[in-house]
Amino acid sequence: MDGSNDWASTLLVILILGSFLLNFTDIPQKMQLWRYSSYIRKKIIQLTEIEDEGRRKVIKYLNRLNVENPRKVLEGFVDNFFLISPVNIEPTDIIKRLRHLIRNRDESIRRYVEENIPNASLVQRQNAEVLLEISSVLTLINKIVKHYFQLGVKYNNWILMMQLALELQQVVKLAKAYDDAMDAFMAGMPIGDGAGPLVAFYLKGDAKPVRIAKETIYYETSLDGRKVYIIKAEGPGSTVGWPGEAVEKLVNMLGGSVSRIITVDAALKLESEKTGEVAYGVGAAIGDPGPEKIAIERAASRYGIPLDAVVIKMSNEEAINSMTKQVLEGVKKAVEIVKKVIRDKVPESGSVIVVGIGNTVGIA
Amino acid sequence: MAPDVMTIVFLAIMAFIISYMVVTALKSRQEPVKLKRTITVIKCSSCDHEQSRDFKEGDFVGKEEGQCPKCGGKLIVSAIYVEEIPEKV
Ligand SMILES: [Zn+2]
Repeated sequence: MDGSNDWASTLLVILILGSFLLNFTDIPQKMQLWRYSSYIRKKIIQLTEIEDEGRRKVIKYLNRLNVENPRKVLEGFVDNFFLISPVNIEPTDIIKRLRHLIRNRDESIRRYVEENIPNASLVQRQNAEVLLEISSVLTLINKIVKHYFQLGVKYNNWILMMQLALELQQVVKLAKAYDDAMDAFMAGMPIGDGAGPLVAFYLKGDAKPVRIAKETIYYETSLDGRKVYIIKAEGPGSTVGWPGEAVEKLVNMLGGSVSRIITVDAALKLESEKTGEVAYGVGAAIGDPGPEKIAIERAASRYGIPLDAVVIKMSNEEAINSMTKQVLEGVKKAVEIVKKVIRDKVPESGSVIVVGIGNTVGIA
Repeated sequence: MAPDVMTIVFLAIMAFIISYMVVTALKSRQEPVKLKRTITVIKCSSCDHEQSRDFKEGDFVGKEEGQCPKCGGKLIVSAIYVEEIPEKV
């Protein structure tokens, strides 16, 4: 036996052993399971830190509003106030039922906040509502991640573990975005989703607001001889109002003599799109669970009013965080596009409804 | 002679694995912290006058901010936005 023969046979043995281990045992999967689970454990610690920081922020805000026991108020909110979606295998009336449930939930949250933070202004209470909701969402995210992680560990489900590990980066990013968003709501600053209400604000000029639905107002102004009705949520507290009901009421009030309804909203951008791009199309630009959107569509179709949509593109994170410069540029572009649509498509002496959809925090 | 080949192959594989691990570890640590500032833009409702300053708590779009130094018209907060501070080189 010479030397070269020796190392060739060693290599052969290693190859055979290696292929046996790779193909006929679970060892590689076990090792991956172990690697992914240690990665997930690290991320769960990070998520818990984010959740705790969110809670600290809420407590700080509640302390500022002279709440006696802010921790108790927070704990009484988190995990409660869920909404069970209505039966959908029997769709009759589903919108009515959903609207009823959503409004019930909003009402009970409002009452909870009112009872526990009695000495605050309306704007402060509205912002506190959102802070509590965000804290609730952070807890939910953390719980869901832990749920899948523990299932994976319990049943040695390495595919579940791998999926979770691969998704987690995005989940943590989202949680961070929610946590950052709290700062905007605490300071009462406009957020990216406020793009629609901001367009409405720029269009209204000096017009005076008139209340039309709960937390929703309209302005009456004119542009080159056309009568323009502008609907937005009532600011500067954090609310989206009831734009659907407002449109319905206004169209009925005008007896259907409206040339166009234009909805303006923030829209989720695709990865390849730039923040602040503005696009227009047809339909109701509004991202609610259904009731408000269908109210706009029904009001438009009842009288055969064309429905235009103008959207300002941004990412999920940008939509819930303080408004960036790029979004603001988009808002300015959108104002010009809405004006152009009005000039080009609404006959002189005709009237048009413009709806600024979104959360109006920080925008009067 | 023969063990030398094995040693070289072994060392090469180890070097590859270690450098791969170092690169991934470094990559995951790099997260540039961007400094941001919030700006409040104030406009006159009667003339072109426009000024901006740092955001103060209590500011909101539509808030009245006193009189215009040029024409005496109403000053109104017209925008609030966040801007990244460009890094100094
Ligand atoms: Zn002036």
